[in-house]
Amino acid sequence: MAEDSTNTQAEQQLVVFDLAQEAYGVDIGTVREIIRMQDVTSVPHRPDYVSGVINLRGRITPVVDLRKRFDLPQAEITRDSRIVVVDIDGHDIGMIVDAVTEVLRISTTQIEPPSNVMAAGGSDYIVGIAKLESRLVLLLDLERVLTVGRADGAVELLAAA
Amino acid sequence: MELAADITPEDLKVFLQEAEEQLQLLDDDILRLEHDGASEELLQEIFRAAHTLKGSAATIGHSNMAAVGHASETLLDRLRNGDLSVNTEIVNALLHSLDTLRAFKQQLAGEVDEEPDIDAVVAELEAASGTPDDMNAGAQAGPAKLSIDHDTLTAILEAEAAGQSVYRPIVTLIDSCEWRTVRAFQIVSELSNNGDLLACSPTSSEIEADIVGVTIEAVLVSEAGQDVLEAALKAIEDVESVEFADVSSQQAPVEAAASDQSGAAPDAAVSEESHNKPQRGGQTVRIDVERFDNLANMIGELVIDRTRIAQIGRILESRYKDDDLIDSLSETSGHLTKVVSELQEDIMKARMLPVGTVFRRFTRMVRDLALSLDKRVEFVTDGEDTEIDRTVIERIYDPLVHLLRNSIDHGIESVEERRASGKPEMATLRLSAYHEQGYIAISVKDDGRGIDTKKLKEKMVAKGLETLESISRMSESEAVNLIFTPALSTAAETTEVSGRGVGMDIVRANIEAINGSITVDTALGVGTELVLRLPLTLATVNSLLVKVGKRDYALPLVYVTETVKLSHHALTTVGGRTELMTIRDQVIPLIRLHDMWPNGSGAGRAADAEFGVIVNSGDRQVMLGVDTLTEPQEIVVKSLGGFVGDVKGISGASILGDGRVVLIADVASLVNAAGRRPQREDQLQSEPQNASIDQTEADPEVFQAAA
Repeated sequence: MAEDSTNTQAEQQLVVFDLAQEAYGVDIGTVREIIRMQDVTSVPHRPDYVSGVINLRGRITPVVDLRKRFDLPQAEITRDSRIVVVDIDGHDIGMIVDAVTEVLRISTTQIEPPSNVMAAGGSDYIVGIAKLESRLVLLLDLERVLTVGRADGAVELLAAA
Repeated sequence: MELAADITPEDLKVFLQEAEEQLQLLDDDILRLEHDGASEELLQEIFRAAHTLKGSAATIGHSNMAAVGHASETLLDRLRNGDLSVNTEIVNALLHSLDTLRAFKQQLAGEVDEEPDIDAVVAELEAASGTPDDMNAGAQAGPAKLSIDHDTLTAILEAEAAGQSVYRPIVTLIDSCEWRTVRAFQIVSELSNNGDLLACSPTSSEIEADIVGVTIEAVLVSEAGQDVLEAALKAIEDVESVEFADVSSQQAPVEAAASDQSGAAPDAAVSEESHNKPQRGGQTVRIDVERFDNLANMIGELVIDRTRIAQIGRILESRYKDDDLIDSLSETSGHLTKVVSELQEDIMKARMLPVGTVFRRFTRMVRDLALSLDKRVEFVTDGEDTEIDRTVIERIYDPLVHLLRNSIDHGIESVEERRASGKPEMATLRLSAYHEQGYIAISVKDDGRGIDTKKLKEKMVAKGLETLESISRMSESEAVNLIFTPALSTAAETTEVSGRGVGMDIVRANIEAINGSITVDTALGVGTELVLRLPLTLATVNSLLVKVGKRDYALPLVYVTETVKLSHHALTTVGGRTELMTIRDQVIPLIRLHDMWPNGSGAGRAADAEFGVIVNSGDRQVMLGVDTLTEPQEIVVKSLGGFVGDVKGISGASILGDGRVVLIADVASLVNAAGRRPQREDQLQSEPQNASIDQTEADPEVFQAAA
């Protein structure tokens, strides 16, 4: 397919991170920042994938454990572990991931719809698969990851937006 | 409804703010007018506010608001001229016009959808004025014909004597002209450019108020010549025809212009006064609430960073004692601390508003309610200057409305009843604010019938909320506090006024949500006083920090009465689960916070709790079992945010100086869910049924399920 340099929409920049040996990508526009793992204050009576809250430069920011969210086996927090802070409808939410690997620029033509047969965790939250030369990057629908099927907070978050 | 085309959202915002101020002022003043009677000064002030409001409505092109404003202005003008005297009909008409104007304002602000109807209120205003308003009729059909007053006549004669030409152009606009006001303005300025304008109809203030018909008449002295004037006027869009009337033959009776004159005089006063007013007591700057809150939040973050920097500075100092750089670091850090503290203090002060701003909103409500119930109520307010955080003010409005309505509806007796019991017919309802030991107290006090605890008790039993036995043991003050029981209404029948379902329990919940408290004091036949005790600010809370397992929690000090070492007191276990602590003959249920918030408490077993914190809310008391206690400190309250959602038993979070996040316990809900009235030890054995109730009440599972 011919390159159309004037059409910037044909390109997308992704922040790619690892989770249980799979590569996941989120649009760079939604990522506020990437920070090292830090102490998370747990909040009682929340689903277990809500790790708790952290102090992000004076702001109380909720943190979600993506492994737990996707029902993946638990892993130790390592030096590579990161909290990816994303902006969902004006709310900052942190996601604990195994490691952040790179920022990728891909053409939208490289993105295919998710297939029905998906082995990776979080298959319900995949909007597409970016096919690169040697590997696949699973594109996450953050809205779904962070709002669907959750306890009461979900509805509130959407309503507040 | 159409607004002028070039209105920007900012213009609209400014208009809405100003309109609210004028409406509030009018509300107050008209009630004062009814209460104190008319005075020239007061009427002048009312007239000015009404005129300013009408003017700004016209500026944004809101013809309906301008029309209502104009009709009330006409009525006010007749009052001011002494043609009419104040009566209930007039006050009601004026108040209704304010309601309509406010409804328009709310519609503009997007708060309501429906367009208010102006016909009824304009008719009411006209009826109160005695005659249909000529000027207002003009709003539809066009303004009154140009009449030449004495001054104008003199000017015409002088000009003619001096050999100047005087013209009287009559410009007719096409019927379909959508921009009459604009065209009229263009015509008048064109005429002014070409000569000396002696009079015009519509007048400039009418144009400003959007009261423009299809014809515009003027009298001007000009050297330009009729042809030039005609050509200039015809060049204006939408002008259908231009005629010139004979000036000398049109000399109207002078007295017809009397109303014009009185209309013009206050105009000058208005612009001067209304500009002077907001500057009273020094220069002020308007600032958007949202922007201000942002500023306050950022300063909050600065405070946390400042503390962190000071801590790091101290660590570095101990590590690198000999480095010169360390000295300048601690010096800078010290200065930063000082500046940030001052900044924080100033911003806190700037958040403070006198409670009078909320008190004033009640005057009207009390009047209308008393009137509708045929009761006579004198509403007195005290301590309006007492300052309180803006955020607190917002949160107490609804509870105060409820308390005041309750007082008028249930507390204050009918005129006959008061007469029969030898009380003055006029009841007194007093709303006051004052400082009290670091809190702001707001009292709602009436001299009504008081709370009948006997009836209250009967009702509790009838509704199955208490047993005859438990009721009979209650002290008088315990019985009075029964009004805070959910699902209880003391009115024999629910009236429209008291409404349904929303009771004193909601009021208490609202007040406790902002770390305040409410107490009640009543005497049968004498009256009732409800006192709200509120924190000065919601931004910070003085709290006791406790450790539960590996988590830290903050317990707002407002609720804390005492801390004890658990091992020093006798512990009784009832029903296998509920633990009761006996302290000085008082039996208090113990809630081990490890059970309440199991997640994250680590290996800590419930029985490990070492300390007990006795907390109170309303008349209930519980002891919270915790591991360790630390010094109380001021903490900044932050929300957990929508994502985490409401967590039962947690009211928010805070960031400590060292950057740690602590959760703030919602003590009121903990106590209300699990607590009970303090009991004497000797009552315990004779009351097995109550103990079993406690067993379920204090059960953390049940508590959790309620979340």
